[in-house]
Amino acid sequence: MRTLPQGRAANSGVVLWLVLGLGTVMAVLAFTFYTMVRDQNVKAHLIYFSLSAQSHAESGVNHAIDSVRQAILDPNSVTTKAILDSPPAGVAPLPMPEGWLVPLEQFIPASDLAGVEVKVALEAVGPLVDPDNLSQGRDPGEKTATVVITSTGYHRGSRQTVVERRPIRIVNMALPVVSKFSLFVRSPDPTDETAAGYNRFANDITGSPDPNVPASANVHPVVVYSDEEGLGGDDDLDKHGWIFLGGDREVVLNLTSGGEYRFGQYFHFYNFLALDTSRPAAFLNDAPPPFFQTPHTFAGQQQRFAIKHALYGYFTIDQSRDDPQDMNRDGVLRLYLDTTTNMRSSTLHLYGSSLEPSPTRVLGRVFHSYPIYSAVTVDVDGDGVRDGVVRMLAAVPEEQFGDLDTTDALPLEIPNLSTGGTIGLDPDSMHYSTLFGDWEAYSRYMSVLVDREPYNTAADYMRSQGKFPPDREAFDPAEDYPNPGTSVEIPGREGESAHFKGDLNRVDGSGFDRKSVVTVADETEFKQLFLDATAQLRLGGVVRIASGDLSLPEGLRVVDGGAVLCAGTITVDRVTTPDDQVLSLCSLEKDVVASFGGKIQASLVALKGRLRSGLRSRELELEGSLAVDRLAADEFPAGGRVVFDPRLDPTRPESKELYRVYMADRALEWRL
Amino acid sequence: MRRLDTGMTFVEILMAVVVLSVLLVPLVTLMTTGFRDTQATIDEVQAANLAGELVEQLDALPFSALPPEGPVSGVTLSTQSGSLADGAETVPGSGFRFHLSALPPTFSRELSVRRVGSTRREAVVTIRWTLNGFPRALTMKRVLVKDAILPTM
Repeated sequence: MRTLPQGRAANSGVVLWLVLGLGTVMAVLAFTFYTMVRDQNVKAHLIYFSLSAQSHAESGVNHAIDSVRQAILDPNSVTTKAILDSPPAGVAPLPMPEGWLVPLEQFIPASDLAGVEVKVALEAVGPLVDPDNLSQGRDPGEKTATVVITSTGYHRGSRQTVVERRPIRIVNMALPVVSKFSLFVRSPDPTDETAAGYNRFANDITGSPDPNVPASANVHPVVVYSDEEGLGGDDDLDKHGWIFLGGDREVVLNLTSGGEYRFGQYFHFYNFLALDTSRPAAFLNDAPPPFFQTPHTFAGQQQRFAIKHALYGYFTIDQSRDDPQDMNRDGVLRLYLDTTTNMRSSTLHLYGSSLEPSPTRVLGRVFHSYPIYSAVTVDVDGDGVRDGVVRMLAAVPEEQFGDLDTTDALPLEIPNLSTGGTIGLDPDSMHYSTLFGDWEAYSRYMSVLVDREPYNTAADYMRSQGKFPPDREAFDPAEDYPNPGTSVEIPGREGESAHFKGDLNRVDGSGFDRKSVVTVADETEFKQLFLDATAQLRLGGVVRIASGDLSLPEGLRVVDGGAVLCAGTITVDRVTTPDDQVLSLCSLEKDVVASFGGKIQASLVALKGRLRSGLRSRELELEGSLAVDRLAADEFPAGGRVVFDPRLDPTRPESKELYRVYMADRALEWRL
Repeated sequence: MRRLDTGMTFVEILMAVVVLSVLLVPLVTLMTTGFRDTQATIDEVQAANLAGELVEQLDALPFSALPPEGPVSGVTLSTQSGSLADGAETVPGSGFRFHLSALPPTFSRELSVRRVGSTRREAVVTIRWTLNGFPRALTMKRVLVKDAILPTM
């Protein structure tokens, strides 16, 4: 038997094995290739799913931002209330309006394959300003916080979570400190020996403008109405718009004579709830010299004499009341004033008018001036009512006291006004020296010019019901009554800390910037964004104009209020603001120019400038408040009125309605 | 004769060819599928990027520049309309333009925008293409909301 050679046996089947080996390698490579392809394909799907999930997540963030914005537009929404009432805390869920996620879920329906989950929280709640710094006004309701939006989108197995943090700010649309004041003047025109200050109103004895003084040479008063409320409660004055006439020097305001309804200021001396401004306030001296304490009989008539005092005001003429009964007849007022005294009265009437008395707190070194006339009166029939004025008790220096009996002797008889006849007198018994003794005693009863009485004393007069001097009722005895100067404390709302504590002279608006929630470059951008062609203003917050002036159109109508902070001069003319809105126009560095072609319903603020009149023939007609560095005494020669808008008062409980919540348009943090 | 003994028999070669053929059929199929899937992967990634590109641009646009402007809902813009082309204004006169990558052959791009209230739009971007004669598509959704008035705070 022949066997196969050894070499052949070794070669047998090699090709098959090679082919099988090659096939195996190819199969492995092919499988690897396919696996990689499949893997890439899966990754391609994942890329899409991931992008889609991220888009869902970002949709959730956008939806939450829009929903929060919509919710905080409504001051009564659960979201707004939760933000306003939020205490300092870590992270707390933010309540959102019911059903707020429905639109999102309709757009991206939740399923096993895709969907989005959104959560909104509030963190880092804190005060907007340093709570220890009360010198620029602090509103405890003004806060900062951060809204945290966590949105998770998913698509198939891919999940993406986006976390976005946006700052929010809770801002009171009224400006701090100055909004508490009807009138706030940091540097008023002072009154001293050389300056008339605000005493430029020439009026007759009734309080009406002096017809002998041309209108062009006269300055009519600006009357300030601090509120509509009366003096019903002890704290009423706190609720009113206060008045601040600051500066380092004194401001002395001459009270206007008479009871004329617009300008007369007799009412300063009355309980205005039983107001009688037809005649000056008068009272009998209840501790006269002995002569006046018993009746006397002259010419067969028993007569009782008394010393009566009457509180008057200033005036330039007495032509309209040439009446012997008039205690101011014959220009007697001048007897009490030296020749250099300015006889004009104040162009600032801080307590309203006789028809609408409006007492308030007057801060600063503010005084009023008025004369008190004294006279000897006689009562013939014993009915307690004077029948005639025997003689005015002129204010004379000691060296002239002896002259009174010789050069100014008493008349022998005076008209008896009650009977129409005359009253006989005994001159010997009626000499000044007989009645009073010496000048020192006389000086306690003679007429006097009260030239520096704290202005707030008038509030006590108005409660005194005729008592002189009045009891201190209107102000807390513990206070630095009644002229606290410029360092004051403005209490906050009930249960809250003080709104302000410091020197009002230092309030210059430099802290107002922090309240702005929108900043525009200039007037052009402001008008593009907030004004329409029909002069309707839609602010909705505190808007700052970074540079330049702002000239508002005549007949501005406020649809959505707020405040405008402008670096330059603001010019305004006639503004209508509805009852549910407020508007503050604040020039941070310059002036406010008001033409007063009609009423301006706004707060005008220029704490480094002044209020200028664009049309001096027009009356100032302002409903809101006025806060300036300077208010020139003759800036408004036609006078006018400032009526406080109590809704601006940041210390009233109702002021919480003026808070608005704002969310920034940029994120503090965006994290995927 | 000895030299002949060292070679391969015809049968061996025939068997090898048969075996190789049997092996190559699935391998070629696998390779073909792989190449096709690779193209699908490329297409899908491209489509996802095209969709993401448009969605992100929409999100970055000012609200007033979002198509459509005005009380219109459910408007669809297509590649062919020219409005959704690279360089086209998002809204005529807005000054804002699309910056879109060129579409590969067989690709098209659609945008559907629905107006929801005055501060919200819902955008759906759809990318369509064909692969081996079969239509393919993917969509991406985004809620778009009105931006704040101005940079603030």
